[in-house]
Amino acid sequence: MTNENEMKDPVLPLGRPTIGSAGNTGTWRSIKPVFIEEKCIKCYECWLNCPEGTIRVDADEEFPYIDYVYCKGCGICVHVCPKEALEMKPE
Amino acid sequence: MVQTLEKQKIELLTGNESVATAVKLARPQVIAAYPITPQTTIVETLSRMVAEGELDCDYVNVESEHSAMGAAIGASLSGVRTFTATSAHGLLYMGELVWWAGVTRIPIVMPVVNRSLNPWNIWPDHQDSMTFRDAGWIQFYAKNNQEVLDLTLCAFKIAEHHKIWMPVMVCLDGFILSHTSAQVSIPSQKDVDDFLPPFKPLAMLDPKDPFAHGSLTDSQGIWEQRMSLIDGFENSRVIIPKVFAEFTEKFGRLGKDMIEITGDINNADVAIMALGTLGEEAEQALEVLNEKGIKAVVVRLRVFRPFPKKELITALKKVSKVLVIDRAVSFGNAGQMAIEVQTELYANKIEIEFHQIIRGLGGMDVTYMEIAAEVEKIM
Repeated sequence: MTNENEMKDPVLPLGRPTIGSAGNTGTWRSIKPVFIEEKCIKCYECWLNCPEGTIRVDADEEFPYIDYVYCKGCGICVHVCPKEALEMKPE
Repeated sequence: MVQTLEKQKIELLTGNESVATAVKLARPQVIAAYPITPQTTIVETLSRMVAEGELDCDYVNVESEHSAMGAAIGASLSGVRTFTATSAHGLLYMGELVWWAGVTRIPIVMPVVNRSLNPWNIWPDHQDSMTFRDAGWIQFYAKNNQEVLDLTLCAFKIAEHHKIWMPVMVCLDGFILSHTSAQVSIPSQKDVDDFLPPFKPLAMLDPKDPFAHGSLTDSQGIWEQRMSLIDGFENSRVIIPKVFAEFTEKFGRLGKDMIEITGDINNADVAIMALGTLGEEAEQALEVLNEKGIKAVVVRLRVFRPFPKKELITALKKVSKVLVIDRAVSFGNAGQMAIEVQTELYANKIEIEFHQIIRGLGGMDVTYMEIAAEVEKIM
């Protein structure tokens, strides 16, 4: 092949970030964090410390919530919450 | 036809200064390198150019060759023309990232100033770069300081071609070229700018359009990338001679072919094959052989990756014997070039007499008289 336009383009090893690219990781869980809204002071420590980004806050001053499709149940949010507004419960 | 050019300067340059001069003319935006004999004066010269404001470029001082290639890969992905250089053990230490740059398509230009490997020896052979001939890099082997400058300039254009997009290793023999001065014709900045346009990234790290480069890849993904790399090398077989031809038309030297043939191939009995300066030394043997009635030619591969199969077969069909001189060994088999030439001869059913020798390891001197004597032995 001598026509450059007909030559194949390089396949580059690029990964675009998408939600759930590793599959439904929520199925790994045996215990799950449960959110108690009355105790929450909206410090967002749980949101900041979640290693998988499965604790969400949609807008300033809103309560955080947990995406159970991807939450692996590690319990870090429970550990860092200063007000015991999260607790681990069996599935 | 040669185009009208700004007058080229002729200066006395070492091989390493030829590299530095070409790199300066190519206007890289990032250089990350670690000094190692005999490459040192390349990076010394370039870092001085940057320090004195002659070259507008970020020069990254790193703590090792491994980091040098790491920094170069990151810089290239940020969308800029990137350069590094090394030799021997530096190349081995860089090894993991040399493969990264090769198989994940990072268009870096890197001269390897050829030097022998362990035990300590600073003199030239091709064992270092041959160790990486399978790493997904295009490889050039230069025969003199002019070709070092010319191939380095072409290397940027070839690496950055969007149908190639892979790194290029420009190999030059340590000391024989790197530290020996010779006349080198230097093109003007304007002519080089015309030949080599600014870096145009194919994929560029951008916080607004984030991607991960070379993250965990499944078997299917690896297969697709490897097949694409094979295609890229096939593309390069067409594009490299085109870039060489463009350079030749513009600057009046180099020649378009991936193989340089010295002597009359249509009237020759034996072809001598050798890389780099050994190839040029072999040219000197032709006259000695001619006086003894032996019609010989030199078939020198300027490009070793992609292996120029078609051109090689076209040439070797015309002779009845070939002598391959390797300056490196694939231990447990033979010289790398000998192995690959034999493969092509067999694959194309070319029945000529094949001879191979290994010479010049660890910087051992190989004279044209010795080459002539080796040719005489097989006649």
